[in-house]
Amino acid sequence: MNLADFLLGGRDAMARAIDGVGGPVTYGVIADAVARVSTMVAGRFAEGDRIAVLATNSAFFATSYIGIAGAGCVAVLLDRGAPDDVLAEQIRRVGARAVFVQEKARGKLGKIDLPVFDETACAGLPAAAAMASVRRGEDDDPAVILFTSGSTGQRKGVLLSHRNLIANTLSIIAYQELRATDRACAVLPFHYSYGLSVLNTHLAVGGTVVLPRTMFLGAVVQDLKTHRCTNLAGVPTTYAILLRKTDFLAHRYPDLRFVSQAGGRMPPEMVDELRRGLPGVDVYAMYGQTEASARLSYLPPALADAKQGSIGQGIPGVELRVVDEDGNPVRPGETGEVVAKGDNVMIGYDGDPEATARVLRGGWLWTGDSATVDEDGFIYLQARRNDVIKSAGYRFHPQEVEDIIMSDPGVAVCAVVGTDDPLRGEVPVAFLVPVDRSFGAALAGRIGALAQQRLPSYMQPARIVLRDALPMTPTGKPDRPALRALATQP
Amino acid sequence: MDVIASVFQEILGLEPQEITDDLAYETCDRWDSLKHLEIVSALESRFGIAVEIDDILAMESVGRTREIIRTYGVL
Repeated sequence: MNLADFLLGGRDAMARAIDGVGGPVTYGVIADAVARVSTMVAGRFAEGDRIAVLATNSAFFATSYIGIAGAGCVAVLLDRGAPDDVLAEQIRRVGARAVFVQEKARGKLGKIDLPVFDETACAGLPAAAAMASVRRGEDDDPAVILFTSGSTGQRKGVLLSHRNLIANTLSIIAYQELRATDRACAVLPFHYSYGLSVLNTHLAVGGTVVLPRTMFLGAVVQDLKTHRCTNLAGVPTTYAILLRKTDFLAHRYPDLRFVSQAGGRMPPEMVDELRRGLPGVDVYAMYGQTEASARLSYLPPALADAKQGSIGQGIPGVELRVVDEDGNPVRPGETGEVVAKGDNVMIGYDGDPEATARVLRGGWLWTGDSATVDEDGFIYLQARRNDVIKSAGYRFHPQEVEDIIMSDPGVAVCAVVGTDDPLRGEVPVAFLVPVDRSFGAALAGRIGALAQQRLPSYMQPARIVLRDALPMTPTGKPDRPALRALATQP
Repeated sequence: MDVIASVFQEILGLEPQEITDDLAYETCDRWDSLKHLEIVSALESRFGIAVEIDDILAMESVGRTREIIRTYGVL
């Protein structure tokens, strides 16, 4: 089946597909716009061609993405918050043949030698032929490329098929019992696998995706009520900001059925605070990764007390195990790596067979996340085994930040570690040794500016600490555990 | 440059001449929701105030932010 047919086939043309910022948009309007995009794309581009989408959450994003996939091309979903050089590199790397871009984001592309389609161009596309006549691509054909977080070169393009996305969407619909009356408050960006899953699941059931005002999450408090949202999907940072920076729990949301959380471990106290503060509202703890189209596991809300801190078990259609290095399931209490099998597991990393072979082994997706499992088969993620930093729902390796900092000739040694942060989960802290001690504050200022220029906001060091030397391991590498301890000191 | 402008300059990492009253969330790529929160926190600590949620949402440009901070009687 083709993703566009799955998402939009047989919907009530008068029902609202999108609401909130930009006003209501019906399924009829969305289907018409998608058909126009598909017709144009199928006429101008070959099946399998890559076409990028650069837009914030909007009807334009949805119709571009679905229209491209509907025409058998691959929609490459870009992060509007990424630095311009990262976007240029990604467009080049995937070999994009065109870009769908919001007018307000056009400047991020600079001079570009590709056809560009903005809102005006799309509105001017001729009325479409019947959808079925332009339909190409199905099942195991690639439909979408999403990028993992990180900086230039490090962000991998995750290639997902129609089957991958449809399978994951159906699984999520099943366990969240989504229906046409559901209205999601879409705070997470659609270019992010978790945010995309919110769009996909609600379209697939004929529900509504509400676009809240984005500048400050506090708007959600009003927007949830105004638009009678039935659910909210967030990362730990979403809830940290709502709980610490707004009066979220002082309000009542009569239509709210559940809130869900993925994209990092949320402190148990915060989960409890949400559950106590939102009586009658289910709280879902979930786990996933882009390589799995989004979702891998969930903890049923009824088990939140009995299995506190667990990410639950595999979602319908996904087999999830914790295994040792040889792939044998660990015994309860032992630590192993989470592996997954299911129709939602990616085709592979685009253009990177070696990296693909490292994570897709023996028919399983090796997630790189270490965990334990209890007697009942519930999985508990463990604190970091590697050095990956998770900040505001994004994951990246400290090396990516270090590389940028080391590009300044005044830095002799640099190491970046994550430290706990009440809002973002973790924030990067940069330790550096200047080439010359006298560089001091000027160097710190320069590095700060460099980070602001070259890194997305969630990767910018929250603090830059200058030292005469860094603690090192016997093999001459920065001693990260020691640095993490130092980072906790003010 | 006043305190408001310098807060924006520091947090967004822009050149002083780029900080005009017209600089806005909608059009400035570096001004995302994480940065907005940092800007609000910085203004709160510089001026010793707590900014109301409705005001945080209305601070969509440098000029508008200055008008809003003025209503707190600290400018």
